[in-house]
Amino acid sequence: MPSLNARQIALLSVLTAVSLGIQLAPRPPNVEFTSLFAFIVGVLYGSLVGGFFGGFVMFVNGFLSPWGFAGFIMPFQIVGMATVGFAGGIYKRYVVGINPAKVCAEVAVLGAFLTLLYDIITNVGVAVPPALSGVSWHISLILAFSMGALFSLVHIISNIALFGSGFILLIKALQRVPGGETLWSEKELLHSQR
Amino acid sequence: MVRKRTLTFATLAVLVWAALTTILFGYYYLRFQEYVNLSREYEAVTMRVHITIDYGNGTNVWYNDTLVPLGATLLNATETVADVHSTPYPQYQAVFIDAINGIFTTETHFWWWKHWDSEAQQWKDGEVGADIYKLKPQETVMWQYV
Repeated sequence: MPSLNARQIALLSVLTAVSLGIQLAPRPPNVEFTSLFAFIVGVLYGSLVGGFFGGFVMFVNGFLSPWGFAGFIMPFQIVGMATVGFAGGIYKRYVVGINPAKVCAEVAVLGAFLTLLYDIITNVGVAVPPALSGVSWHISLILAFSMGALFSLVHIISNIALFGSGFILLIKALQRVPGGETLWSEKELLHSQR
Repeated sequence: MVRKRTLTFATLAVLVWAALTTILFGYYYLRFQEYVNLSREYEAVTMRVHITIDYGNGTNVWYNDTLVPLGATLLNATETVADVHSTPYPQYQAVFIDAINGIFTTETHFWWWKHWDSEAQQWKDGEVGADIYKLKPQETVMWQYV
């Protein structure tokens, strides 16, 4: 884990609270902001923090979700969202020097791909209980994927829009927050000199 | 020359599209199978009829193999394929068809129905009201705006 200063930890806490707040609020099924936040945290603080962030939000969501206790799916949701945060850290290495329009397009594609990956992982989780109760694995998986197909469609399309339009704006805004130490210490210095 | 980076993201986009369409295809295939099985289950209590609506202006729309319950009347069957406005007249024990799919009867035009006589190989006029006439399996009926 990278060492984080107080301001970075505070920002992470706020982002976690915002993600959880949105995650637990009534909203259309599968329209969510957590994956965008997890990806952004990954870009800002690296793969490990991003992965932990995504996993933690889904862990809490698993207990408090308005749809009820996640049960068998929870570990799969945690792994899925951790993957999104982890991917943000990897993307960070390749994003330097790319023009913003291209970043928007790339992030939209990545958002679609990671959402698909998340849905595949969670659909495997949905297939586990029937498979354990005796239904054959391939039937359970086919049913899980086909029953979740329309939800996946909504999830992917909404995340293409969110990643494509929100990533640059949020990254720019959030990058200013941890960089404020210098500003604040200068202000404190000015006050102490008075 | 396309850069490797662009190619990578284009490949990812195609991969997402391919996976999503496969999943959606699977979903629609399963739903289709569900309906096929359901229609097989209900075969004993349903029948298929063929309905055509002739709007009198050269437009003639066919609704072949319309699935209706056994013993359905012409009015019931027509209501499954078209928007029907009708007025019941209890004193005559009949229902008068005011409009089909927004085409209303006027002083000079009205809706008339016929059925296909497969033995005589010709259309025959309906002799009773559409709400009374009980359809037979595979029967062909026509609504004509005359």
